[in-house]
Amino acid sequence: MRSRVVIRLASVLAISQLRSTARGASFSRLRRPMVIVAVDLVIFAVTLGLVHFSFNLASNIPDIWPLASGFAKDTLQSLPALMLSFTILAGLLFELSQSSQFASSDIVNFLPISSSEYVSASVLSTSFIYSVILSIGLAATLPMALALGTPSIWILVAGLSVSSFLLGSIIIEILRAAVNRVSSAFYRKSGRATLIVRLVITVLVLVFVQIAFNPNFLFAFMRTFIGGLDVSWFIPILWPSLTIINALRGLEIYAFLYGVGSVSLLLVMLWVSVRLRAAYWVPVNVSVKVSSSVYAPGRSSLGRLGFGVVGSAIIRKDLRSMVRRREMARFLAIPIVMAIAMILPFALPSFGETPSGPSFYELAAVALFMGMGIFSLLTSMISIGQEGSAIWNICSSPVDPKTLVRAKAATILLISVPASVAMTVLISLFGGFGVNAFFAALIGGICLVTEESFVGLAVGAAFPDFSEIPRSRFVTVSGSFLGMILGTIIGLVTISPFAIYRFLPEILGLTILNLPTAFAATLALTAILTYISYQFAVSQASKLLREAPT
Amino acid sequence: MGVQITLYISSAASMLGLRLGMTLLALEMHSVKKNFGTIRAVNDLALTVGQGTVHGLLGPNGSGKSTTMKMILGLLRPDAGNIKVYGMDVASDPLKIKSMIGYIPESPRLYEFLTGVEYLDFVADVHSLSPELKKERITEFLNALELEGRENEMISGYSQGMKQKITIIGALLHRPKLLIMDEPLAGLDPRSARIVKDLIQKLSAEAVTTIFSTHVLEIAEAMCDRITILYQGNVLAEGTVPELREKAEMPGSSLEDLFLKLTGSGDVRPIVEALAK
Repeated sequence: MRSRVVIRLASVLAISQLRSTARGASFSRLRRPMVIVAVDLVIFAVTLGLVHFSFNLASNIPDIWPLASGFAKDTLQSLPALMLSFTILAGLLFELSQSSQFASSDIVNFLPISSSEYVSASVLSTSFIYSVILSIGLAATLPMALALGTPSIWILVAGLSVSSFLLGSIIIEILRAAVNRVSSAFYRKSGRATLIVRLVITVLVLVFVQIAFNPNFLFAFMRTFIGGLDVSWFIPILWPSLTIINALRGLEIYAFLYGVGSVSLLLVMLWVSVRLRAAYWVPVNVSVKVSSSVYAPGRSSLGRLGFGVVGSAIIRKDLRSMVRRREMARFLAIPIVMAIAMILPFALPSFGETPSGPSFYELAAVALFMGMGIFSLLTSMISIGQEGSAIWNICSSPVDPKTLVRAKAATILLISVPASVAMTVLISLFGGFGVNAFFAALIGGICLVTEESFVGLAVGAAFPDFSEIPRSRFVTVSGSFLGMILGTIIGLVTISPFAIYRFLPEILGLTILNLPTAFAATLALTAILTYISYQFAVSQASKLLREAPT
Repeated sequence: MGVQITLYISSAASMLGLRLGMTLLALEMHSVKKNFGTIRAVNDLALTVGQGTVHGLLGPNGSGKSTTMKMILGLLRPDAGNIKVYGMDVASDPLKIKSMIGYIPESPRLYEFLTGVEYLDFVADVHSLSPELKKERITEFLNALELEGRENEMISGYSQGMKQKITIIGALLHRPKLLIMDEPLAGLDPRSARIVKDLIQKLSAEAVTTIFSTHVLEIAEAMCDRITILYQGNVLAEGTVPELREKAEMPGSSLEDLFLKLTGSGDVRPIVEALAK
């Protein structure tokens, strides 16, 4: 392995990631690796100063110090696991979103670069891009270790955190190779079922990995079943944390053994990822034969739902996009992960028993509707940008902005409304909801997904990101922040009449709204906010169709 | 009755902006300018193209050919000037203009997750073709361009040439009155390229106008009724090949030699010799 090649390639990969989404020359001047180093140093210094000041303050207050020292110990122990979790989450969400079309034409595939050189460079590049998080973690834990009087522990924490950070990037490399393998397994397979199976497998992999590498879940799992971290020796990703726990307790031999185990794990995973990269070097551009029947255009069933020919064509295309594109899988996985992450901590303590009681099911309903709301918001925000460079197909066709916006919204609502209804029915049955609660959940759910779809569409039409190389995001960073904020506010406003009806009598003993009034208020709010969002989306789509992105 | 008919024809003709007694114009561009920031892509461009003609747009890379084509289609708004397609201002009714035009971009990006036939079905629906008509035309074109048997595969697995064929079919499905083709023959195998060339000539005979750009000057010389040479956003020369020879004072020379002289590219032999060393 040539270290010069590794460093040069790592630098090129990092620059490529930094500049991939740059807009305009002046902005891209800031997108240099040296800027990341400078930002890391500034963030390190600022975090160090703030945490040092806070702990100095806490150490002088006897009532607070036990809490602060406990928090410091927990942070020191869990930092490596947090670093691992972060790189995997960030890597999965962003690295795997690269479309296979560009991955297959990746220039490194045609250059004399070995798989070990590529993997090492890619791991270094990924770690470097996200190094600001490591910088914050290390800066925050240094004053904590000093305050606890264990500066040598910090050196151990720093080393293991860096190792976990690299391990996360290596696991991403392994997953990338595995996804290439899965894609090539489907190469030249036939049938629509193939596409559905591929989507389900990809979503399940994303959901499983994000839940499995979530340290909160792991710790909760261990506490529930075994009684804590002490006996979690069989989970290798927790070895760095066990090293620190044992070192803090003065058990040097155990600390040494877990430390050796952590480093060995890093090396083994690096070896595995190099072997996988060598085996699945170039991702195969998937070519699936969807049907073997002769072409016979049928009358679309969407026509019966009131959609015109043009609108139906766009809806069919977008539904196929959702099912068939690898980049779309993460947008389906995120709401599922968020809903599971919300429910799990409440479900775990009672694992082994059936979760019961209305409060659990009410919480589950809230989590699932939140998931559906996020799904509607995310998919609608990306619905314009996901056209990518192929947007010329729409811009050069006789499609008017109203048809475009209605078709895009309908695509999302055709999934989210039936899903909301199905979820309401299931949760109501399992949770034994009354008629009032059932209708409240039903109406609230439908209103929420409708509104989030149109708000997301308005933001997505105003801030589309059509760039596809190397990471497709479909909506600009500012757009996604704005969308999230607007989506949250509007979601809360929509469900507020039901919340006032349900909880105000319990909390304050006041009854301001009865159920019919809450229904009416929610419907009115939904109608107003949806109409405003729709009008804005149409005006933005109109601009887009007048001046196609170049 | 006779007066009524005359009035009807004359008002219809004036509505379409046509001039009776003269060649019908498929395209009129006057004083069109387009800048991208500080870069002047098209400068004071004037161009007229008669109905049913095959008009070639030639020019070195970055001369403004693609920008001009996008402005005709309404994909880009000119900073100044006006563009009329069959007498209609491009900005006045973009949907009607788009439904009259078939467009093949320089590097077409298709919906890779659709199969070839699904993509064509989408394009046909967007142009509101009836199910019977779209089936007839899609099947006919797939057979003509030898894509039958591959039409149910996802486009992501197609070769560059197959993608180009799908784009060409998509542009022709709705029988446009004006075809705008940016390097339409790139990536096509010789047989398919021949089919497309013959098709353009046949459509021209049926009064379909074609504006196309190419860097293969032999093709332009063989196919185009008239040629416009663009250079740095300006029209350098315009006319038939014999007219261009006359302007360049190069009788009997090839279009390639004319092009190199007019664009100032000059003698390329010293460069070739230097590269070969």
